Amino acid sequence: MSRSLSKRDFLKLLALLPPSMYLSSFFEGPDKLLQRPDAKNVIVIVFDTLSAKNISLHGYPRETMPNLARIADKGTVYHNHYAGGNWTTPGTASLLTGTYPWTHRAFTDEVRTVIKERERNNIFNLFEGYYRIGYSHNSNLYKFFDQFSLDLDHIEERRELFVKNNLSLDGLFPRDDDIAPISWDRMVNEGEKKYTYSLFFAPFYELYNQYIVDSLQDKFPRGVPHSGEDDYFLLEDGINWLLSKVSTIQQPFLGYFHYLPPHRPYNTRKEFVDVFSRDGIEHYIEKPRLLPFGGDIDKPQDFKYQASERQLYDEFILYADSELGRLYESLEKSGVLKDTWFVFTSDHGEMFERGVFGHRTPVLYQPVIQIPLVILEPGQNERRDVYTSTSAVDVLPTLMKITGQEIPDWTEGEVLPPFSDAAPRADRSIYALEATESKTMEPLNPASVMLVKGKYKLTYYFGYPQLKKMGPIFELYDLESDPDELYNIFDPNSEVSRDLQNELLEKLREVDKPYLKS
Amino acid sequence: MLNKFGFFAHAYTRKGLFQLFMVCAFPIHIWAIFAAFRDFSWVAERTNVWDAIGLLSYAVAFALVETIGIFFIVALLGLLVPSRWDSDTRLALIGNLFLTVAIWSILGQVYSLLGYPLPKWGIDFLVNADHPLRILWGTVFLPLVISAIVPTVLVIRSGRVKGMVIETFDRISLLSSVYVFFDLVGIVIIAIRNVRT
Repeated sequence: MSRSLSKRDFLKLLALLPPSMYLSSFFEGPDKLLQRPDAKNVIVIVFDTLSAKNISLHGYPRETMPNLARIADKGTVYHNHYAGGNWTTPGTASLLTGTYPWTHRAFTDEVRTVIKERERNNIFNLFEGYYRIGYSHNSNLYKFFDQFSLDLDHIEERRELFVKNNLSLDGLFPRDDDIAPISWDRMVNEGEKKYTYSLFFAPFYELYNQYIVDSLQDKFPRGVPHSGEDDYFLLEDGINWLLSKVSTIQQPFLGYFHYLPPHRPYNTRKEFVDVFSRDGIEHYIEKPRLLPFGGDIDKPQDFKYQASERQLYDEFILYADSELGRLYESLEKSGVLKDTWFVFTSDHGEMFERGVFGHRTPVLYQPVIQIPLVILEPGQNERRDVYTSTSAVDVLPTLMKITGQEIPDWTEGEVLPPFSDAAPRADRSIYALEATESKTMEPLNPASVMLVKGKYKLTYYFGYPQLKKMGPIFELYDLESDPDELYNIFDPNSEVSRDLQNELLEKLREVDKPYLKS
Repeated sequence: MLNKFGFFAHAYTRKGLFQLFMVCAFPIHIWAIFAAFRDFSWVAERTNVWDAIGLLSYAVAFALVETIGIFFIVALLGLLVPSRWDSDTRLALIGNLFLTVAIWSILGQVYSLLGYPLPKWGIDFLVNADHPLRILWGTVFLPLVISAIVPTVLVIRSGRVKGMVIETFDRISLLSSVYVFFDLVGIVIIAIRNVRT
């Protein structure tokens, strides 16, 4: 031990220096957090597939979201807010990147991530000085979480909050609450990887899970909420986890929490079953089926089925709303909201009309594309209502502005009123896109593009095989006088139609340009 | 210790029990380590290498727990072997059966992992069959049962095969002791991860 270091030993040690320096970079913790005492936290709550058209706060005749209405009394309510796309991948990508689907390009089933050159242009990257945490019930989100993982400090694994995880090891290894549960989960759950670390325990664990799920049937007579075959979850668990997390994580933080309800299947809790069954609101309104497109479920116009599906959906919303109310109360009680911006929104809507049920459809009618947005400012005590049209792409620049950070020049959104320094523009153009069948790196075709400007909404459908005989279709609605989109007023000879048509086609040419073959 | 469980002492020797434990540890650990290493890189990328080492540590520690549980079940099942057979035959039989089941379990996981669909002619055949589920289960169980019965009969009938099996268990025990050493290292790493401030 006391022997002095020889020249040879010294050189040997020196040789170890580069690899040890390289390895040390792996052992670093999260970057240093923002040292600004006035920095506020941000909580973004997304309820998947929540159409503004089915929310009482926005005029729906059923009292589906009494808690949201109560929360909105202390926040800013956006009555004409639009998703970037009509399903989770494009809709959420627009929210997280502040860009439209034609820019982030996450709009096909095959490629559910944003294009590589834009993967650092995300909200988590911009909130660098914050502790950034994400969770989702929806597996689509993990494509983004994986892609943005360098910009996230904690991604809660989806399976961690599944019902089956009652045997998780969180309590046993409290100081290792990431790796121990992941390892345990991989030990016993096949998941998407279709294998487990364990050769023999997994089947017994599965049996135990089934027993747990079966025991919840009393509480959920229509079935325990799930999105796939074995991914049963309770919104209650997700909310409880959020509450426990925000009270312990480092501040300031940016939390993105994406819950699946009220996404199909509409398995509401016992106390909400059939509450709307005899309220006299059945098919709501008769709407024409003008376009040859279907949805997740494509049925001929059948008002009985329509009424029953809508009732199931509304009762599921009511359940989600009750948990939203519980979340809000707990956050308020714990004092978290005093230092936190609270954002509530959705990724896209859902429709039950014109023979189209669901949201995976080429049509971009209001139920499928109009979503809620409520922003609660810390200390706000009175409600503000914004009727100007706004978009999901506006959330990112708005959050940057309200947290005192620089707004990036690559966002296509604008700071939302009343947080913007400029007055709201009624003639602003808002877009939404459906292009599931297009190719990621080619011009959009087939696609549906929506342009909302002032009181008008123009939608352009083109390239679909169903339109082979009739050609591209334009639909124009005056949302002020015809909010249910019953009368297509598109007329190539009218000035309004022509102007909007030219603007939309010009925009399409602009966004397609980088993808045209030379 | 073994004397406290008279029925165990009657059925197994101390060395036999040790070998049976190591035989149980062998496939369980091989698979757990193989599977955990598949996750090593993404955990290292997403968090850091220390977490990835933690994942491996938990995997081997859980494998040890699984081994202990399975060992007791297998040892108890070994008591069903007729008492007229000596402890070596009992060990060879029960160890062999366990290894057969473990190999099938690994093959099942590998099949799921590779994600090969059934060939089209196989699907067509099942679609047209009157009892597709019975055929499917039969196809799985038939080779499993044959693969279990053949070595069992050979062990009972041939002293030479029994000797070879016991010798193989000896070697497996040596290899498994390395895995048990990994388990201990894993437990130390888990302890370090959980006492750090």
